[in-house]
Amino acid sequence: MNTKILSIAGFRIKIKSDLLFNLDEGHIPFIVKEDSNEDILVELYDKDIINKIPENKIFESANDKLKIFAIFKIEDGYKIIIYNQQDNNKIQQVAYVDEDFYNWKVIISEELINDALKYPLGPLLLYYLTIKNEAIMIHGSAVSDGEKGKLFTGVSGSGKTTIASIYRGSGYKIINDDRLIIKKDGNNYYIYNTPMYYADDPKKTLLTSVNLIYHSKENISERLKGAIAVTNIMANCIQHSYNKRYIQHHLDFLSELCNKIPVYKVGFKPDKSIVEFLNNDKR
Amino acid sequence: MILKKIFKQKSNFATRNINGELVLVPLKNNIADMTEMFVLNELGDFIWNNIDGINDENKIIKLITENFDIDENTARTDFNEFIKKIEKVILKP
Repeated sequence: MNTKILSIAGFRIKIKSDLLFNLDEGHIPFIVKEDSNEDILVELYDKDIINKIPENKIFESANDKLKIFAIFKIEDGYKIIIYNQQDNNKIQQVAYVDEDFYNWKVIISEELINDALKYPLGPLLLYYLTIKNEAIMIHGSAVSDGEKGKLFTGVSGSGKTTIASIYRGSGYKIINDDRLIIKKDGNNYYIYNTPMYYADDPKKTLLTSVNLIYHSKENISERLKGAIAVTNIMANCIQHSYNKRYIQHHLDFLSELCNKIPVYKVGFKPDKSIVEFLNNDKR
Repeated sequence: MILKKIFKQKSNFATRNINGELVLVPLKNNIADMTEMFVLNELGDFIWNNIDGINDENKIIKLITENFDIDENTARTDFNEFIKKIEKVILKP
């Protein structure tokens, strides 16, 4: 039996299989040796993928051009069909998942033997880990000065990657500029990176401010509180809104986070002046 | 009739009261719709909670006058505005 254990945002994902499988370069830095209790168990199989689609579809992720994945309710859990993004008529992985989203029996095609958690399966596992815990997944960039961490989030095109790049040039550590996990630990919230398509070490920083960013002719900052803060952050979270419990989890988590961590709406000029502005801003 | 329709749809929303405002998030079966959310003020929260499948319009308006410092005409106007707003949310495809 081959086993690999991933530690992502402090969560343990155990992957085991009779197959000689491997993971892509994005996941490899997250592999750990210690075998503590896992939060999710993934079992890999290489049976033929049956292309029969069940009828009871409860959720779908798709855009105008591509189907990404679809979730179906089956008798004792869920069946998740993940489509190949290069050839969208092909199924890439099929996962049979129990009601608790603990045990994932994943059938992979032969070409995935060295990339068993190929996107979007990796982030899917993480999403269902977060909703079982005090954590969320969010589109955003996060930077750290070694002690404090700023989260920048916003709609597509709002400048998340741009602002991360500006902070990188100012000596800050970039946690990630795309997809992050925010997790509560005791009285604090921490930001973690997740495996991407490229290799990057696991990173973590204390969350000390949430900044909802947009491009602006001048640097400007406004404190948001209450429902407006919660809904603005939630709009950028990764969510599968077919289940009321999952939405409730996000609402509850973010309501508590917004009581503890200051939230700002920040317009920024795309140059280094934003770093000084946010540091000097008496927030 | 509309109150019954709203009451039937209530279970399709997750809610959370945040500092006196009520956030409503509809259940969706597609990731593309995930950003749709609605915020109701304190009065809207009160009306939403009193749409219970039993209270009719007059009863809710009476409850508003008893719980907020407003007269019946104002309560009716506020109630009708709420219904107009929430009807759009409920009836949205």
